[in-house]
Amino acid sequence: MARVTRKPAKPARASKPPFVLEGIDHILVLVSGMKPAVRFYTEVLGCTVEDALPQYGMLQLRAGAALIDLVDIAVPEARWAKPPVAGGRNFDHLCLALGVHDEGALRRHLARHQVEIIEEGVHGGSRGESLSLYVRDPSGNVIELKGPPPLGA
Amino acid sequence: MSKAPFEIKGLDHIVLRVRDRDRMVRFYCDILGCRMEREQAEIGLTQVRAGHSLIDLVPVDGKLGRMGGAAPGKEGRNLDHFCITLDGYDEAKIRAYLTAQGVEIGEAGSRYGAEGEGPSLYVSDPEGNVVELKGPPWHA
Repeated sequence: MARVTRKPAKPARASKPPFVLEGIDHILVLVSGMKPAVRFYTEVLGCTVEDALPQYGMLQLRAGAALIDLVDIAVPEARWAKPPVAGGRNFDHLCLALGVHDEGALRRHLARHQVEIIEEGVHGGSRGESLSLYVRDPSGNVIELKGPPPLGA
Repeated sequence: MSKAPFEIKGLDHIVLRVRDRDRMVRFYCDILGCRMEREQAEIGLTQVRAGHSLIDLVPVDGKLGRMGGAAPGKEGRNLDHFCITLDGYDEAKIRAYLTAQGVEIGEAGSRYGAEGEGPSLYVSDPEGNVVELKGPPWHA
């Protein structure tokens, strides 16, 4: 009887995913100390608190169409998220898409909150090239603030 | 306290610090279906598109990556996971597909995301970052 020999499974490179990616829905950022983190994300960045999950050491913040979940690894409830090694960074930064705004007012707002702009420049984002200002949250995570590309660009 | 003089629309992109750029590109593009958007080898930046967002891959030994300090330790992280919204969520098909691609699938469940409660499952990228793949909310 002829034996059917099966080829070893090779990665199905040609097959297409049975879904389409729409975009980043949310991100869980590790912070150390919830109070300063919440102040930064709500008062400086204008996120709003959507839900509190103290049993997980978590706070869900609304950032436009997306959520930013803060996980406070300084509390025991967040031990599930606490990395065994401190100080590691698997993400370099995350970028928030801002609506049309007054750049001067944005700079003054950051200055009033003593938030230092650590870097700036015209960089590409998902909507095209525009000015980016980089700041740090109180735990040292880098946040890029990016407006839409200039009109006519 | 003064209000922020701008409005956040959403997450534009996330920058992952990576050790093996090619392997990560294969995962995000060939398996998850991201599209290559832009490559700037001279500074060590690969940008792939995930719908309206970008995922940037920065090799830790490239120009940009070196500015970020030491490579992330095996267990060191500042990001627990991030979630990508899918248009179309047939869990059986997704599972079969990912399994055929050799992707390890974590827990599936009903979870809360930016659009509400809906089905999702976790996978790990080749460097151990957890990516949540999430379908539309139950009550869309």
